[in-house]
Amino acid sequence: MNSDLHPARPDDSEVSAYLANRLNESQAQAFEQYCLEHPNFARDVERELQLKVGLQQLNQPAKVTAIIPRTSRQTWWPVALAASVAIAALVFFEFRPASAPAFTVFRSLTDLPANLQQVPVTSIGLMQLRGDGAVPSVTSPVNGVVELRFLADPGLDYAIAATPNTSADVVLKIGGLRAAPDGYLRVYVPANQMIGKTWTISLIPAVFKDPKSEQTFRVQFAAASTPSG
Amino acid sequence: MDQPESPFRSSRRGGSDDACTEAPVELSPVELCERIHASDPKAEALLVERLQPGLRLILHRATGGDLELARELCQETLIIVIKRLRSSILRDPSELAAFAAQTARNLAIAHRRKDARRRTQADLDAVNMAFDPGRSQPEEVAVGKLGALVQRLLNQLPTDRDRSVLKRFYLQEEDKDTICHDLSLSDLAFNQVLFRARNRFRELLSSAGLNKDDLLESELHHEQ
Repeated sequence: MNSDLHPARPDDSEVSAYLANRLNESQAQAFEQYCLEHPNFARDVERELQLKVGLQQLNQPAKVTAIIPRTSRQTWWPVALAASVAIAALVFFEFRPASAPAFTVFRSLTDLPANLQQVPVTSIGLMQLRGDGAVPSVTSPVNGVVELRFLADPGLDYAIAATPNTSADVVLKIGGLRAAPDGYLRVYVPANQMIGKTWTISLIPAVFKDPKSEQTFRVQFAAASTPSG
Repeated sequence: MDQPESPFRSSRRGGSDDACTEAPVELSPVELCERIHASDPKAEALLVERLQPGLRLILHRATGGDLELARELCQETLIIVIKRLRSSILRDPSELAAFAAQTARNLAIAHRRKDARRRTQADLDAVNMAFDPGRSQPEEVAVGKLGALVQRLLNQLPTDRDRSVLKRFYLQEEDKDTICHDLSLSDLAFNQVLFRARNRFRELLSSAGLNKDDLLESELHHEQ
């Protein structure tokens, strides 16, 4: 197997740079080529990756990553396999290192990761007004956090589901939510995930009571020109 | 189905299939391709053993860290490569690894495109899943085998300083010089901390019954 691209065994700093996604594309591909040609080395790198993933799990106990359901792999497997054979023959014209980051939502300010602990928080309270069809616009610093606040029944568990107007985007969702003693249920979302879209946000009681118990809001998020104070 | 038997399944488990150990591991890529073309199942198992760890890394990055998807695309990649080698010899068999890598990357690209088209129909399922009463979010994280193993590792480290080194290096991705400066550590001491931690982690993985080739997949089984 060709080892011209990366003849030397990568050192520790290169391994950590690869795992931190700090190599450029050609460097990363050369690193991966070396891994393909040296499976024992690749297993060592995998172990480093495991350590990292495990630490991330421990560090983010309350972080909820939106689940983007896929159809059953079993059912589309033969089709995907056939398609893949054809794709393998195509010209290799495009590669991007990573897909869009997963949508995240947090249950409390204390759950925010370190990089979001000091950023501005824009708080918005959502409540349904009879006959009001207007879509309010909320501005927030792009690097900030948006607090979504709902008046909720303290005795009920809720879920929140949000869909952007751009239908191909991911859906925010989180369940098992309860109102705080002040009657408000809160979640926190990195603002950069919300900005630039109009969102339909639903507050849904886990126990169905009546058709009116589900509340739906539409909110447009825009970037603040200067950080809010 | 016209799919190859899944030689990587048995080799992944590291158990009953001794094809890998019997096959001559010194086979060159050219020899490997020739043997697979001649329908040698041991050569196929050897190919899987050689390529699987690297392919998983490639796909882990190409899928943005989606372990489950990386595992499945890795299997698809290996099947495609084996089928290709069964049917015809590569024009340049010495480029076997490059061929496998590009196949994996193409699969990841194809999946992203397909996934983007499919998302518009997935919203209802997503909302339903939010109500899954079977597992709360914290529990979902807690069942992560890796997290539990790493927690054990942290508990077994002798000092807070060692734990701090590990977290700052792997989690916060700080560079070595900064960590050494902040913690007044020599280069040697830093390397020793990492060396001990890695060895201990390897032992924990082993004692947990995880074979080398199960590393990424162990996580998946506990997430399901």
